[in-house]
Amino acid sequence: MMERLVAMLREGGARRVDELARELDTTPQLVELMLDDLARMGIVRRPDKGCSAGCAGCVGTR
Amino acid sequence: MTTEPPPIAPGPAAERPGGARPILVALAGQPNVGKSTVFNLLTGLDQHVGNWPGKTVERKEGAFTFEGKTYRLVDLPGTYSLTASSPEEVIAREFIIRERPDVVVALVDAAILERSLYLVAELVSLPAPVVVGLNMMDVARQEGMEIEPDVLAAALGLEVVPMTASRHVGVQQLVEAIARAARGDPLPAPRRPEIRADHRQVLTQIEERIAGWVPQPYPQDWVALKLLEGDEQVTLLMKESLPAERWEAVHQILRHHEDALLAVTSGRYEWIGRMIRAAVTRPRSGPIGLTERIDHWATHPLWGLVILAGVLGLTFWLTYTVGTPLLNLLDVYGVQVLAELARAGLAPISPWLAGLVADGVIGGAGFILTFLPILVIFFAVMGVLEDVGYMARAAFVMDGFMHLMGLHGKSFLPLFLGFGCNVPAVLGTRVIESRRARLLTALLAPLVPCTARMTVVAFLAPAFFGRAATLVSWGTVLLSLAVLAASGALIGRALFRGERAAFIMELPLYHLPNPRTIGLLVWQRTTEFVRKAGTVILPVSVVIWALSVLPGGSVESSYLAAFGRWLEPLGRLMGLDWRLIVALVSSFVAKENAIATLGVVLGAGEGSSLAQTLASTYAPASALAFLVVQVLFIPCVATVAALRQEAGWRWMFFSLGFQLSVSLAVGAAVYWAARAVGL
Repeated sequence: MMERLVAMLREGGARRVDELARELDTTPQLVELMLDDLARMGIVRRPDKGCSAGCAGCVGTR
Repeated sequence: MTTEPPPIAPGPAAERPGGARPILVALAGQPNVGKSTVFNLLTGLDQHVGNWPGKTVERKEGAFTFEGKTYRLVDLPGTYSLTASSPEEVIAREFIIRERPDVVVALVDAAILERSLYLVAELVSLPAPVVVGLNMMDVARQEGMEIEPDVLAAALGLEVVPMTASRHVGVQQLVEAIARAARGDPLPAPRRPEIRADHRQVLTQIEERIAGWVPQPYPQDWVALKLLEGDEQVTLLMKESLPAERWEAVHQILRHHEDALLAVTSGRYEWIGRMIRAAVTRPRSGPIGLTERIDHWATHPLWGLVILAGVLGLTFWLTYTVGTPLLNLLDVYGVQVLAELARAGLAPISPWLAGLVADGVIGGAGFILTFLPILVIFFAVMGVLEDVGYMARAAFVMDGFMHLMGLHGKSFLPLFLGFGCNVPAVLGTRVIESRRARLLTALLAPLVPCTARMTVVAFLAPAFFGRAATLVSWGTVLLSLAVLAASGALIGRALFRGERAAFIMELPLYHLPNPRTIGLLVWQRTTEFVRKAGTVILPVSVVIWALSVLPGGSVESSYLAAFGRWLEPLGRLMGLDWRLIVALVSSFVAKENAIATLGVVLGAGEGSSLAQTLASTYAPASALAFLVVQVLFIPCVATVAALRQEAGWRWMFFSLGFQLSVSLAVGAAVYWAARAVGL
């Protein structure tokens, strides 16, 4: 399942976790776990949750 | 549910009947799964608390009796997995491997089954019978989940005991299951996770190489798997246990398959996925909050775009409806008044100085600052959209289009900023992580028609085209966006050549806008613009003014005019005469200068008289060509400076050359097309 997840991500583009879960026929929780592991392995880079601060988190970083 | 204590007698082993060796039971599970509760329920007061030898990790051991047999219970440290990365994990696995407990109880949290099962996936690869305690069934039920323990048991090939330890539910059944497992009734037949199919061969190869050399009591197949995972402890163990050539062979295989960890982990997740799919009949339903309901539409492939178009339209409408009157106010009562004051005041001293200050300095740079109202409003509206969380959805929806240019949805935000002003757009590319995407976005940002360019269009279109002005305006915007897309696709292909990073979109929850955050955002973006205006536009504005009055004092005979005349042959290709060329050149300082310069070279003041003069001087084809070239032309000096800052000299010059060529080419094409239809 993980390699299918990686393949889906390799296709590029913005994906939502619940969409990915639907396509993999599993739960969003499991997808999140796999993403965490993929991030730990360095295959995926999760932006440091900057978007939860609203876009203001990104502007003005010189 | 049940409140009577289970018929288990906790107490020291020595008092128990029979001299049989006590049955060793290990209690495993992740932290906060209820192990302590279960441990205490089973062992009562008969507990010994100490440390694992040589470690600071707490060790709890106790005992209980059941049906005449004594059971020794050891509480393993809470862990999520059994890697070598923490002492707790190593302790847990070493205990199981070395002490060979008769039963391992895997306590699992029914409410977060995905997480809890990972440890079980690892436990079943160890040589000890596993009994699964499916704890926290009450929490799972509260969350609306329905789990079938029997189905899970069948899928796992293990005994599964549903429990709510906090209410003493299921503990009796757990003990019965432990007893059965210790008896070997039935014999354990767990379904183990399998390494991903494409790596099965590699696993076999490793197993063959290490066969016979794995030190006791480590299980061979487990060691092989851990080697593939890159487990540090096991790697060290085998490096020391294998003869040199054998280790070299194994090492080679491992080096050749550095992605084996992914294959092993993938196999475990596949296994977990199967368990979940089988046993969980109604998965937890997340809070269908406001966010999800809105997103159903906001990220919809069709409606999302419609909503986006609507939101963007609203943004522009607000900006121009509120901003334009303010702009005019500032211009008439601010800049012009100041300019007149300066002229009046300085003229007696030196007409030359008066001109410099009034026209060069105040007229030039001051005019830029009148744009502040429009920019502030635009940035404020965008700021609200960003803070509320909508911009993330906009990026998501635009992602598909961005891909046509080899970009991601994340580039949408800086590009959209370009509609306000190209300077923050270029500077805003900083948020993009990939260097190439950042570069491409910065190169494309100046192609976005900014308010300054649109002001020229807004002024000139009615002058030339009367009622068709709106059509012409929209046409030029769409044309420039088309050129943007085409340029993006072109340059993108040249720059990227197949490299395509994927990215995961985190859509934050919608929330009420925070005025302070938005204020900060607007302030940052506005000051970026003002700083650029001050440091760059001002001196260049003065220079251009100087060129337009030297050497003779009249525009017609100035250096600038001479320059324009020199370029006239080129300009004729697009139907532009030297005046239009000069206006174009002056727009390098600031786009709006085009209007002011036209006013100067045509000998008219701003206002309808200029419009009338323009209409009578130029054919519509030339006018159209001029508008198009103007919109696509090299960006103002402030943007160029920002570009140099973000992308370096080389790319800055590339951008200038590129935009120059594109604008002239498209301008010429438009001119001839217009001529062909009789304009």
